[in-house]
Amino acid sequence: MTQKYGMGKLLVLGAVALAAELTVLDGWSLKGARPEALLSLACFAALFARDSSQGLLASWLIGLLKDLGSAGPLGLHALLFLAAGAVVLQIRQVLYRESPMTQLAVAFIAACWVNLAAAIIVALTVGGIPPGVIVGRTLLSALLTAVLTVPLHFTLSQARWLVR
Amino acid sequence: MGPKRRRSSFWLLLASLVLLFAPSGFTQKTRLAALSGFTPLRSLGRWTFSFAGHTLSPSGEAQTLRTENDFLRDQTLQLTNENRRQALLLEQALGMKQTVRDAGYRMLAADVLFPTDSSPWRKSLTLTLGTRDGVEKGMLVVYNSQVVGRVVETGPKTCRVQTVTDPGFRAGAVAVPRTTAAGVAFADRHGGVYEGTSGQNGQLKWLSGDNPVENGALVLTTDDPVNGVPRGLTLGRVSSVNGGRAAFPKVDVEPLIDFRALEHVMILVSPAESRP
Repeated sequence: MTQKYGMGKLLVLGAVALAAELTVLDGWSLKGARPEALLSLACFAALFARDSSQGLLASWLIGLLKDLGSAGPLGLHALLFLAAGAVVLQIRQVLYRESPMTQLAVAFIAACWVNLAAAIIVALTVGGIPPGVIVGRTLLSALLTAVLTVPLHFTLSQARWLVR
Repeated sequence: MGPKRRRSSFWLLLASLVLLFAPSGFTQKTRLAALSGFTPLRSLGRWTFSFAGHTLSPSGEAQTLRTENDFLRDQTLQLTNENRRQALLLEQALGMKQTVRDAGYRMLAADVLFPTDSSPWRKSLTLTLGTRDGVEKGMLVVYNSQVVGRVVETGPKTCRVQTVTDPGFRAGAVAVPRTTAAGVAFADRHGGVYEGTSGQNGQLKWLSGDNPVENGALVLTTDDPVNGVPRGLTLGRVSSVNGGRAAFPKVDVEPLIDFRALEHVMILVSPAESRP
Protein backbone atom coordinates (compact mmCIF):
# COMPACT_ATOMS: atom_id res chain seq x y z
CA MET A 1 0.00 0.00 0.00
CA THR A 2 1.33 3.43 -0.88
CA GLN A 3 0.32 6.53 1.09
CA LYS A 4 0.40 9.20 -1.57
CA TYR A 5 0.42 12.78 -0.42
CA GLY A 6 0.01 16.28 -1.81
CA MET A 7 2.91 18.69 -1.51
CA GLY A 8 0.72 21.64 -0.49
CA LYS A 9 -0.83 19.86 2.47
CA LEU A 10 2.52 18.41 3.47
CA LEU A 11 4.05 21.89 3.58
CA VAL A 12 1.17 23.22 5.68
CA LEU A 13 1.79 20.32 8.06
CA GLY A 14 5.48 21.25 7.94
CA ALA A 15 4.68 24.81 9.02
CA VAL A 16 2.59 23.45 11.90
CA ALA A 17 5.44 21.11 12.85
CA LEU A 18 7.89 24.04 12.80
CA ALA A 19 5.64 26.07 15.10
CA ALA A 20 5.35 23.01 17.37
CA GLU A 21 9.15 22.57 17.44
CA LEU A 22 9.63 26.20 18.40
CA THR A 23 7.02 26.17 21.15
CA VAL A 24 5.48 22.99 22.57
CA LEU A 25 8.19 20.43 21.75
CA ASP A 26 10.92 22.68 23.15
CA GLY A 27 9.11 22.58 26.48
CA TRP A 28 9.48 18.78 26.46
CA SER A 29 13.22 18.83 25.79
CA LEU A 30 15.52 16.61 27.83
CA LYS A 31 19.02 17.97 28.45
CA GLY A 32 18.71 20.17 25.37
CA ALA A 33 17.51 17.33 23.13
CA ARG A 34 13.97 17.36 21.79
CA PRO A 35 11.84 15.39 19.35
CA GLU A 36 12.17 16.77 15.82
CA ALA A 37 8.73 16.81 14.24
CA LEU A 38 10.02 18.15 10.91
CA LEU A 39 12.47 15.29 10.54
CA SER A 40 9.71 12.77 11.30
CA LEU A 41 7.64 14.42 8.59
CA ALA A 42 10.57 14.29 6.14
CA CYS A 43 10.94 10.56 6.85
CA PHE A 44 7.25 10.12 6.06
CA ALA A 45 7.71 12.14 2.86
CA ALA A 46 10.62 9.97 1.74
CA LEU A 47 9.08 6.65 2.75
CA PHE A 48 5.69 7.24 1.13
CA ALA A 49 6.54 9.43 -1.88
CA ARG A 50 4.82 8.74 -5.19
CA ASP A 51 8.20 8.78 -6.91
CA SER A 52 11.76 9.74 -6.08
CA SER A 53 11.45 13.31 -7.39
CA GLN A 54 8.53 14.01 -5.08
CA GLY A 55 10.35 12.45 -2.13
CA LEU A 56 13.50 14.48 -2.72
CA LEU A 57 11.65 17.74 -3.23
CA ALA A 58 9.51 17.19 -0.11
CA SER A 59 12.55 16.35 2.03
CA TRP A 60 14.39 19.42 0.74
CA LEU A 61 11.46 21.78 1.32
CA ILE A 62 10.88 20.45 4.85
CA GLY A 63 14.59 21.00 5.55
CA LEU A 64 14.24 24.54 4.22
CA LEU A 65 11.31 25.10 6.61
CA LYS A 66 13.58 24.04 9.47
CA ASP A 67 16.17 26.55 8.28
CA LEU A 68 13.59 29.33 8.63
CA GLY A 69 13.55 28.87 12.39
CA SER A 70 17.29 28.59 12.89
CA ALA A 71 20.10 31.08 13.32
CA GLY A 72 22.34 28.83 11.20
CA PRO A 73 22.97 29.34 7.48
CA LEU A 74 19.93 29.04 5.19
CA GLY A 75 20.11 25.81 3.20
CA LEU A 76 22.04 23.73 5.74
CA HIS A 77 19.12 21.64 6.96
CA ALA A 78 17.70 21.54 3.43
CA LEU A 79 20.93 19.89 2.31
CA LEU A 80 21.04 17.47 5.26
CA PHE A 81 17.35 16.51 4.88
CA LEU A 82 17.91 16.03 1.14
CA ALA A 83 20.76 13.59 1.80
CA ALA A 84 18.68 11.71 4.39
CA GLY A 85 15.71 11.61 2.00
CA ALA A 86 17.89 10.32 -0.85
CA VAL A 87 19.16 7.42 1.27
CA VAL A 88 15.65 6.52 2.46
CA LEU A 89 14.38 6.60 -1.13
CA GLN A 90 17.25 4.36 -2.17
CA ILE A 91 16.54 1.67 0.43
CA ARG A 92 12.76 1.89 0.78
CA GLN A 93 12.21 -0.85 -1.83
CA VAL A 94 13.62 -3.39 0.57
CA LEU A 95 11.79 -2.03 3.62
CA TYR A 96 8.35 -2.84 4.96
CA ARG A 97 7.30 0.80 5.26
CA GLU A 98 4.10 0.27 7.23
CA SER A 99 5.92 -1.43 10.08
CA PRO A 100 6.36 0.83 13.13
CA MET A 101 9.77 -0.75 13.74
CA THR A 102 10.92 0.27 10.27
CA GLN A 103 9.69 3.82 10.80
CA LEU A 104 11.35 3.92 14.21
CA ALA A 105 14.69 2.72 12.83
CA VAL A 106 14.60 5.02 9.80
CA ALA A 107 13.81 8.06 11.95
CA PHE A 108 16.50 7.17 14.48
CA ILE A 109 19.22 6.81 11.86
CA ALA A 110 18.10 9.91 9.95
CA ALA A 111 18.02 11.97 13.16
CA CYS A 112 21.51 10.72 14.11
CA TRP A 113 22.82 11.77 10.70
CA VAL A 114 21.17 15.20 10.61
CA ASN A 115 22.02 16.11 14.21
CA LEU A 116 25.59 14.88 14.06
CA ALA A 117 26.31 16.61 10.76
CA ALA A 118 24.67 19.87 11.92
CA ALA A 119 26.58 19.76 15.21
CA ILE A 120 29.92 19.20 13.48
CA ILE A 121 29.26 22.08 11.08
CA VAL A 122 28.23 24.41 13.95
CA ALA A 123 31.26 23.33 16.02
CA LEU A 124 33.62 23.95 13.08
CA THR A 125 32.15 27.28 11.98
CA VAL A 126 30.97 28.79 15.27
CA GLY A 127 32.71 26.67 17.91
CA GLY A 128 31.99 26.07 21.55
CA ILE A 129 30.20 22.69 21.63
CA PRO A 130 31.98 20.02 23.72
CA PRO A 131 32.25 16.60 21.94
CA GLY A 132 30.51 14.81 24.83
CA VAL A 133 27.51 17.11 24.45
CA ILE A 134 27.39 16.46 20.69
CA VAL A 135 27.27 12.68 21.12
CA GLY A 136 24.85 12.65 24.05
CA ARG A 137 22.39 15.14 22.63
CA THR A 138 22.49 13.54 19.16
CA LEU A 139 21.58 10.11 20.53
CA LEU A 140 18.90 11.44 22.89
CA SER A 141 17.39 13.64 20.21
CA ALA A 142 17.37 10.73 17.74
CA LEU A 143 15.64 8.53 20.30
CA LEU A 144 12.96 11.15 21.01
CA THR A 145 12.45 11.75 17.28
CA ALA A 146 12.08 8.01 16.65
CA VAL A 147 9.51 7.74 19.44
CA LEU A 148 7.54 10.65 17.97
CA THR A 149 7.71 9.21 14.46
CA VAL A 150 5.59 6.12 15.14
CA PRO A 151 2.41 7.93 16.30
CA LEU A 152 2.92 10.67 13.70
CA HIS A 153 3.15 8.20 10.80
CA PHE A 154 0.23 6.21 12.23
CA THR A 155 -1.89 9.40 12.38
CA LEU A 156 -0.95 10.40 8.83
CA SER A 157 -1.73 6.95 7.48
CA GLN A 158 -5.09 6.76 9.27
CA ALA A 159 -6.27 10.34 8.64
CA ARG A 160 -5.31 10.47 4.98
CA TRP A 161 -7.20 13.71 4.38
CA LEU A 162 -4.39 15.41 6.30
CA VAL A 163 -1.90 14.82 3.51
CA ARG A 164 -3.83 13.87 0.36
CA MET B 1 19.81 5.56 -9.07
CA GLY B 2 17.66 6.43 -12.11
CA PRO B 3 18.38 9.43 -14.36
CA LYS B 4 15.26 11.24 -13.09
CA ARG B 5 16.32 10.93 -9.48
CA ARG B 6 19.88 11.94 -10.36
CA ARG B 7 18.58 15.06 -12.11
CA SER B 8 16.33 16.00 -9.17
CA SER B 9 19.15 15.43 -6.69
CA PHE B 10 21.51 17.57 -8.74
CA TRP B 11 19.17 20.56 -8.96
CA LEU B 12 18.21 20.43 -5.30
CA LEU B 13 21.85 20.05 -4.28
CA LEU B 14 22.71 23.05 -6.42
CA ALA B 15 19.86 25.07 -4.89
CA SER B 16 21.11 24.21 -1.38
CA LEU B 17 24.64 25.30 -2.23
CA VAL B 18 23.39 28.54 -3.80
CA LEU B 19 21.43 29.29 -0.61
CA LEU B 20 24.38 28.39 1.60
CA PHE B 21 26.74 30.71 -0.26
CA ALA B 22 24.23 33.46 -1.07
CA PRO B 23 24.86 36.86 0.60
CA SER B 24 23.61 36.63 4.18
CA GLY B 25 21.91 40.02 3.90
CA PHE B 26 19.51 38.60 1.31
CA THR B 27 18.84 35.20 2.92
CA GLN B 28 18.38 36.62 6.43
CA LYS B 29 15.80 39.17 5.30
CA THR B 30 13.94 36.55 3.26
CA ARG B 31 13.65 34.01 6.02
CA LEU B 32 12.75 36.55 8.69
CA ALA B 33 10.06 37.92 6.39
CA ALA B 34 8.76 34.36 5.98
CA LEU B 35 8.90 33.79 9.72
CA SER B 36 6.90 36.96 10.38
CA GLY B 37 4.00 35.09 8.74
CA PHE B 38 3.73 33.20 12.04
CA THR B 39 2.96 36.41 13.98
CA PRO B 40 -0.84 36.06 13.59
CA LEU B 41 -0.53 32.58 15.16
CA ARG B 42 0.19 34.24 18.51
CA SER B 43 -3.09 36.12 18.41
CA LEU B 44 -4.86 33.05 17.03
CA GLY B 45 -3.59 30.95 19.93
CA ARG B 46 -4.89 33.44 22.48
CA TRP B 47 -8.22 33.73 20.64
CA THR B 48 -8.59 29.93 20.51
CA PHE B 49 -8.23 29.66 24.28
CA SER B 50 -10.86 32.34 24.88
CA PHE B 51 -13.16 30.82 22.24
CA ALA B 52 -13.21 27.53 24.12
CA GLY B 53 -15.42 29.21 26.72
CA HIS B 54 -18.00 30.22 24.08
CA THR B 55 -19.71 26.88 23.49
CA LEU B 56 -23.48 26.40 23.60
CA SER B 57 -25.19 29.72 24.17
CA PRO B 58 -28.90 30.22 25.04
CA SER B 59 -31.27 32.21 22.80
CA GLY B 60 -33.23 35.49 23.21
CA GLU B 61 -32.60 38.05 25.95
CA ALA B 62 -30.44 35.70 27.95
CA GLN B 63 -28.16 35.34 24.95
CA THR B 64 -27.91 39.14 24.54
CA LEU B 65 -27.04 39.55 28.20
CA ARG B 66 -24.55 36.76 28.00
CA THR B 67 -22.94 38.30 24.92
CA GLU B 68 -22.70 41.70 26.65
CA ASN B 69 -21.31 40.05 29.74
CA ASP B 70 -18.74 38.19 27.69
CA PHE B 71 -17.82 41.38 25.85
CA LEU B 72 -17.28 43.29 29.10
CA ARG B 73 -15.38 40.39 30.62
CA ASP B 74 -13.19 40.22 27.53
CA GLN B 75 -12.50 43.95 27.74
CA THR B 76 -11.58 43.66 31.42
CA LEU B 77 -9.28 40.77 30.60
CA GLN B 78 -7.64 42.74 27.79
CA LEU B 79 -7.11 45.73 30.08
CA THR B 80 -5.70 43.50 32.81
CA ASN B 81 -3.31 41.89 30.34
CA GLU B 82 -2.24 45.27 28.98
CA ASN B 83 -1.77 46.54 32.52
CA ARG B 84 0.36 43.52 33.35
CA ARG B 85 2.42 43.99 30.19
CA GLN B 86 3.01 47.67 30.94
CA ALA B 87 3.96 46.82 34.53
CA LEU B 88 6.49 44.29 33.24
CA LEU B 89 7.97 46.81 30.82
CA LEU B 90 8.17 49.43 33.58
CA GLU B 91 9.83 46.94 35.90
CA GLN B 92 12.41 46.16 33.23
CA ALA B 93 13.04 49.83 32.51
CA LEU B 94 13.53 50.57 36.21
CA GLY B 95 15.82 47.56 36.60
CA MET B 96 17.90 48.73 33.68
CA LYS B 97 18.14 52.27 35.00
CA GLN B 98 20.21 51.11 37.95
CA THR B 99 22.68 49.25 35.76
CA VAL B 100 23.06 51.31 32.63
CA ARG B 101 24.58 54.47 33.94
CA ASP B 102 24.96 56.08 30.61
CA ALA B 103 21.70 57.97 30.19
CA GLY B 104 22.24 58.03 26.45
CA TYR B 105 21.07 54.42 26.03
CA ARG B 106 17.54 54.11 24.69
CA MET B 107 15.34 51.04 25.03
CA LEU B 108 12.88 49.44 22.64
CA ALA B 109 10.29 47.07 24.11
CA ALA B 110 9.79 43.93 22.03
CA ASP B 111 7.53 40.89 22.22
CA VAL B 112 9.00 37.41 21.79
CA LEU B 113 7.55 35.61 18.77
CA PHE B 114 9.44 32.32 19.17
CA PRO B 115 11.44 31.70 22.35
CA THR B 116 13.81 29.15 20.84
CA ASP B 117 15.70 27.95 17.75
CA SER B 118 14.66 25.08 15.51
CA SER B 119 18.20 23.67 15.60
CA PRO B 120 19.18 21.97 18.86
CA TRP B 121 22.72 23.34 18.44
CA ARG B 122 21.84 27.02 18.17
CA LYS B 123 20.13 29.21 20.74
CA SER B 124 18.09 32.14 19.48
CA LEU B 125 14.86 34.06 19.97
CA THR B 126 12.69 35.70 17.34
CA LEU B 127 11.27 39.11 18.24
CA THR B 128 8.42 41.05 16.70
CA LEU B 129 10.46 44.19 15.99
CA GLY B 130 12.50 44.76 12.86
CA THR B 131 14.30 47.36 10.80
CA ARG B 132 11.06 49.35 10.46
CA ASP B 133 11.19 49.91 14.22
CA GLY B 134 14.85 50.90 14.23
CA VAL B 135 16.38 47.55 15.16
CA GLU B 136 19.88 46.96 13.79
CA LYS B 137 22.34 44.10 13.84
CA GLY B 138 24.59 43.97 16.89
CA MET B 139 22.16 45.61 19.31
CA LEU B 140 22.10 44.12 22.78
CA VAL B 141 18.89 42.58 24.16
CA VAL B 142 18.22 42.55 27.90
CA TYR B 143 15.62 41.53 30.45
CA ASN B 144 16.01 43.65 33.57
CA SER B 145 19.79 43.68 33.96
CA GLN B 146 20.27 40.17 32.50
CA VAL B 147 21.76 40.12 29.01
CA VAL B 148 19.52 37.97 26.80
CA GLY B 149 21.68 38.19 23.68
CA ARG B 150 22.55 40.18 20.61
CA VAL B 151 20.58 40.90 17.42
CA VAL B 152 22.17 38.89 14.59
CA GLU B 153 19.52 39.05 11.85
CA THR B 154 17.05 41.75 11.00
CA GLY B 155 13.96 41.64 8.81
CA PRO B 156 11.41 44.39 8.20
CA LYS B 157 9.08 43.28 11.02
CA THR B 158 11.08 40.69 12.95
CA CYS B 159 14.61 40.11 14.16
CA ARG B 160 16.58 37.16 15.49
CA VAL B 161 18.54 37.35 18.72
CA GLN B 162 21.51 35.09 19.39
CA THR B 163 21.16 34.35 23.11
CA VAL B 164 24.09 34.27 25.52
CA THR B 165 23.97 30.46 25.53
CA ASP B 166 24.51 30.22 21.75
CA PRO B 167 27.98 28.87 20.87
CA GLY B 168 28.56 31.97 18.71
CA PHE B 169 28.02 34.48 21.54
CA ARG B 170 31.14 36.07 23.02
CA ALA B 171 31.61 39.05 25.29
CA GLY B 172 34.19 40.47 27.65
CA ALA B 173 33.21 39.68 31.24
CA VAL B 174 34.32 39.90 34.85
CA ALA B 175 33.45 37.62 37.77
CA VAL B 176 32.52 39.70 40.77
CA PRO B 177 33.24 37.96 44.10
CA ARG B 178 30.02 37.41 46.02
CA THR B 179 31.38 38.50 49.38
CA THR B 180 32.92 41.75 48.19
CA ALA B 181 30.50 42.74 45.48
CA ALA B 182 30.98 46.43 46.13
CA GLY B 183 34.18 48.40 46.28
CA VAL B 184 36.45 45.82 44.63
CA ALA B 185 39.13 47.29 42.43
CA PHE B 186 38.70 46.36 38.77
CA ALA B 187 42.17 44.80 38.68
CA ASP B 188 41.22 42.37 41.47
CA ARG B 189 38.25 41.06 39.56
CA HIS B 190 38.53 38.04 37.30
CA GLY B 191 38.35 39.32 33.76
CA GLY B 192 37.85 36.90 30.90
CA VAL B 193 35.85 36.05 27.84
CA TYR B 194 32.30 34.72 28.19
CA GLU B 195 31.18 32.16 25.57
CA GLY B 196 27.95 30.27 24.99
CA THR B 197 28.09 26.45 24.82
CA SER B 198 24.81 25.53 23.11
CA GLY B 199 23.56 24.16 26.44
CA GLN B 200 21.74 25.89 29.29
CA ASN B 201 24.99 27.42 30.57
CA GLY B 202 27.84 29.51 29.22
CA GLN B 203 31.53 29.41 30.09
CA LEU B 204 33.99 32.02 31.28
CA LYS B 205 37.37 31.48 29.63
CA TRP B 206 40.85 32.98 29.70
CA LEU B 207 40.38 34.32 33.22
CA SER B 208 42.88 36.80 34.59
CA GLY B 209 43.26 37.77 38.25
CA ASP B 210 45.01 36.19 41.21
CA ASN B 211 42.09 35.20 43.43
CA PRO B 212 40.16 32.00 42.63
CA VAL B 213 36.63 32.39 41.29
CA GLU B 214 33.99 31.19 43.71
CA ASN B 215 30.61 29.57 43.09
CA GLY B 216 27.76 32.05 43.06
CA ALA B 217 29.89 34.97 41.85
CA LEU B 218 28.07 37.25 39.43
CA VAL B 219 29.46 37.48 35.91
CA LEU B 220 29.07 40.99 34.49
CA THR B 221 29.86 42.59 31.15
CA THR B 222 32.86 44.85 30.69
CA ASP B 223 32.52 48.14 28.86
CA ASP B 224 32.62 47.67 25.07
CA PRO B 225 31.40 50.84 23.38
CA VAL B 226 32.37 49.59 19.92
CA ASN B 227 29.87 46.73 20.18
CA GLY B 228 27.31 48.75 22.17
CA VAL B 229 27.82 46.81 25.41
CA PRO B 230 27.64 48.88 28.60
CA ARG B 231 29.55 47.85 31.69
CA GLY B 232 27.81 46.01 34.54
CA LEU B 233 25.03 44.03 32.84
CA THR B 234 24.57 40.50 34.17
CA LEU B 235 25.57 37.52 32.04
CA GLY B 236 24.86 34.99 34.77
CA ARG B 237 26.08 33.43 37.97
CA VAL B 238 29.03 31.06 38.38
CA SER B 239 27.54 27.58 38.85
CA SER B 240 30.74 25.52 38.99
CA VAL B 241 34.50 25.97 38.85
CA ASN B 242 36.74 23.15 37.70
CA GLY B 243 40.40 24.01 38.17
CA GLY B 244 41.98 20.73 37.06
CA ARG B 245 45.53 20.92 35.75
CA ALA B 246 44.80 23.44 33.04
CA ALA B 247 46.34 26.90 33.10
CA PHE B 248 42.91 28.49 33.21
CA PRO B 249 39.99 27.14 35.26
CA LYS B 250 36.79 25.96 33.55
CA VAL B 251 34.04 28.21 34.87
CA ASP B 252 30.40 27.41 34.10
CA VAL B 253 28.04 30.38 34.10
CA GLU B 254 24.30 29.93 34.51
CA PRO B 255 21.99 32.72 33.26
CA LEU B 256 19.68 34.11 35.94
CA ILE B 257 16.55 33.54 33.87
CA ASP B 258 15.16 30.85 31.57
CA PHE B 259 15.07 32.48 28.13
CA ARG B 260 12.35 30.07 26.96
CA ALA B 261 9.93 31.64 29.42
CA LEU B 262 10.41 35.20 28.13
CA GLU B 263 7.45 37.09 26.67
CA HIS B 264 8.92 40.61 26.49
CA VAL B 265 12.47 41.92 26.29
CA MET B 266 14.21 45.27 25.81
CA ILE B 267 16.53 46.12 22.94
CA LEU B 268 19.32 48.51 23.96
CA VAL B 269 20.03 51.27 21.48
CA SER B 270 23.44 52.78 22.13
CA PRO B 271 23.86 56.59 22.00
CA ALA B 272 25.71 56.34 18.68
CA GLU B 273 22.81 54.41 17.10
CA SER B 274 20.22 56.80 18.56
CA ARG B 275 21.64 59.75 16.66
CA PRO B 276 19.88 60.52 13.38
